[in-house]
Amino acid sequence: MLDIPLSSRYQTEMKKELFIDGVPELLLLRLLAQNEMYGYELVAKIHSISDGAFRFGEGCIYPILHRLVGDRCLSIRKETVSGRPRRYYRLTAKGNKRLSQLEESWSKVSAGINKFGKDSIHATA
Amino acid sequence: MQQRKFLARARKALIKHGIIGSRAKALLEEWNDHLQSEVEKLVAGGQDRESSYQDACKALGEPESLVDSAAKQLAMESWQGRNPVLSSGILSLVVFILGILVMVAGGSLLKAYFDYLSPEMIKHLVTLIDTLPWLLCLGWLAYHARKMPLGWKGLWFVTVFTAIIPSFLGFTCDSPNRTMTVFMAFLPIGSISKFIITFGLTLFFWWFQTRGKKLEDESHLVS
Repeated sequence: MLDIPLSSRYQTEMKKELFIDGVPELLLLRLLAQNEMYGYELVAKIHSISDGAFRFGEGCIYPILHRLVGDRCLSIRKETVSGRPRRYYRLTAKGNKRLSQLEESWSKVSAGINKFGKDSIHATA
Repeated sequence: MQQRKFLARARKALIKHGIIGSRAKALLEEWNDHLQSEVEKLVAGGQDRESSYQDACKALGEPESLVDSAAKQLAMESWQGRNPVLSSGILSLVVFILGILVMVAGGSLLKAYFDYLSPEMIKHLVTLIDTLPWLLCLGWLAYHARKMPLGWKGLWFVTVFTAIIPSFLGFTCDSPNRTMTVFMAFLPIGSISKFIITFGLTLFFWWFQTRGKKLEDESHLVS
């Protein structure tokens, strides 16, 4: 708690690519709205559906999933597969609400960005 | 074997980042499942098991990078992680005030509520109370000694410095009839100054590190 921020964990400026902020969460919730899935399946689906446009590292996807479980947006079901534990994630009612909120935010952002088409910029110039 | 080595390195890196307990266990289980699933997919595609493991580990990346990425993600999700300077500063201030409070009030409360104890016993307990914040502070400093320019030698220097100087100050302020030890000061002023000096030095290293620079064991700074 009183830790001097660990050098690779914390930075003086928490730089985030604003464009990509919230996208992993949105994609995960969208996929889980359709089916119950486990981590590997989710990572592979994101990669394949987006045609390789999104390839979120396994280092960031699992903490996001665990956080969503902690926030009760997802529920887990544990199963033993080939002798190892596997967690299946499923969207909860709260997760559904969260998904709706994210989709609404994303629609606004997307619509706003689309208004900055080249034609509209030249027209207003 | 490769899988065990991978997970062992990941476990070590998690501990180094301060990610322990159920959080670390959950991540390791997920990465293990991820690794094995990738291997099964490659083996199902006709590849041999040995090279499948190699490719799966390569696809997942170095365990240290994986953990680094996870640590950054976890940090971004906490208020403390998003505001490292402010959170560390506030917590440091709270600890400092609590430490002073314990030292000043501890002895008085002891004398007020435990007057059935012998004066000798009270004196020892007061010394213990006055010394505890300093010891805790040294523990905090020891945790960061690995990032100090002189490493553990730096910690030894700080320990000796903070033990001797306040005792010396206490001796010079006190009457010549009372005996003073070199290691610990019995006077509250000695203990408080010891705590303040240790705390101040630790805060200096905290400030230096939160400027974005790392203090390496090789005594050179890396941004």
